[in-house]
Amino acid sequence: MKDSAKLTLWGLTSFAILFSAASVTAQSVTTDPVGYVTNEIPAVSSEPVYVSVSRPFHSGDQGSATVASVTGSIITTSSSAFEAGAFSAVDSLGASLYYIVVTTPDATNEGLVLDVVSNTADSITVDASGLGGDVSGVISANDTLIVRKYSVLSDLFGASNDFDLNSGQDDTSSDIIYVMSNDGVGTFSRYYYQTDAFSGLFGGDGWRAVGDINTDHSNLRLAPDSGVFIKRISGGALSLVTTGVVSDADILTPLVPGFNLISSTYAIDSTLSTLGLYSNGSTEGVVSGQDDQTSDIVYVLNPDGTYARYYYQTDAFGGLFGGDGWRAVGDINTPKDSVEIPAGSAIIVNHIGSGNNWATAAPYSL
Amino acid sequence: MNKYKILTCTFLFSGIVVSVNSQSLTNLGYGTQIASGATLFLDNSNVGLTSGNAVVSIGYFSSLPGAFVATSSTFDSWVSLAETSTFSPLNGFVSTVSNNTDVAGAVGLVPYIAVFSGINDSVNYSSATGFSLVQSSTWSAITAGSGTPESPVTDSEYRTLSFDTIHLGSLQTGLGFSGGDGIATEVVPEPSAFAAIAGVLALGAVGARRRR
Repeated sequence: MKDSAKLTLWGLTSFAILFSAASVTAQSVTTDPVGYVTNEIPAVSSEPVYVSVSRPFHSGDQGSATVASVTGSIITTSSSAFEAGAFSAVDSLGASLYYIVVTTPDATNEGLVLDVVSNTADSITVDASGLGGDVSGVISANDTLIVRKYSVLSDLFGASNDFDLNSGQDDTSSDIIYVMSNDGVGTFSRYYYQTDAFSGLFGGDGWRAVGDINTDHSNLRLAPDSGVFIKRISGGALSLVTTGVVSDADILTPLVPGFNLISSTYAIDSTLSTLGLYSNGSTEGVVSGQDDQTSDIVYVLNPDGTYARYYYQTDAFGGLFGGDGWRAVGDINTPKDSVEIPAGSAIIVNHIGSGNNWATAAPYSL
Repeated sequence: MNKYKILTCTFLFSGIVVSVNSQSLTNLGYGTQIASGATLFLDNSNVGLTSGNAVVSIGYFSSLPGAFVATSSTFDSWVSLAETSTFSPLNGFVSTVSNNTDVAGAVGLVPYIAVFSGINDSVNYSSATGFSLVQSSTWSAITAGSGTPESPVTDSEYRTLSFDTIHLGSLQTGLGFSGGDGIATEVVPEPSAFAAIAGVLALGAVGARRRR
């Protein structure tokens, strides 16, 4: 069984463009192109079924600006582009709900994503903890940036469990959403939609973390290039529709050493080859070696919870040992470049290097 | 007294249910590594084994034999977890992974790699024409997971450039890939074969006496 994703992006995009064109004579109006992706969750027979889901959309640009200067973690913009304090909200775990994306065309930092800590009308303070508290090495004057809001759990599944995932009094009677840590360790936090049969006595209704029946996690943030796994414990097939604004910004997805649960930020079906995970000898993307032991491993979730595993092989013996290209672990010869990675799904990369970026560019123009 | 019996039965039943629902899955890598200096698996004549005419098996003994002897009876309790009879791209070369392999019964054990020449399925081990049995001192015990995000399938890795523990077979220096060594299968005649040889020798001796 394959997780299939139906993409109906272009119809809606065309509508947006046509609407703009028709309005030119009266008033110049632009609108964000929106789209949706459908993930099919197969019916459960006896054992639970697992699927990966991502949201290859965003929630709309919150603002844009040109950088005037950078001091430490404070980016000063060339104009008063923002409402002071508009980007200081945090999610249920205290993480920022807003981020910036560097959009300077063709710059080496194009697609860089940083969390917003706070802002004034003409400055943004970002989380520079991974950069020694100073972002001047990666952002400089005349760079352009946009501010976006993170997708949150309820963007995918609805604030009230809109797609009728199994929901019970606790996690043992509910479908589970797995969110991987972003530290490379590969541990999962687990969430479920709780339906309190005792009128709020035991935590009430809503999105909860396993082990905590009280805290509302409906605004748990999900990185634009991440995803989640779902364990469906019973019931028939479900169609899970994900919507949002179509992204046309390039994105640099960090690959930290260890496990990374990542996804394409573009709502378009891909293959291992077209995802651009391997970038032909560049320092970006996945590590490639002679075999799976010397390469990053890409894990594609199977419905039974196991993984199909792939790597990009670079044959140092001139083709004697299987040649170059995507291969399945255990089979050095059969090309796997065309393995499908549907829009709205997610994969795991086990990165054996010291840290890289997966650079993606929008495969379309809007 | 009856209450105790009922409780005991319930407990045992619960244990059975748990064992049925949990799997022991691992990604089992075995053979050599793809690198200069790799080991090749050879037959009794020091020639690289060919596809369909030998099998490389990773497994364990359900009952350890008293001694490792290059006879089929040594492998009467052999449990093959995964195996291949494909040697590619070189004769004698095996480097592969058996994904999502059920290793129930083998978790916690350090496996062996057995090579059987003359057959292509370890089930037919009694017909093998040669045997080798190797390990590496660097190997760890087999691990497993249930195949869920909470307990993912583990990686159990037994691909080794060179094997430092040869229980059966002989090291053939320099007969491996690109400077590596080979490990040749060997065979010790079974007692029945000894009897046949003795019979042939006896007949020969009688014939010689008659000619004299």
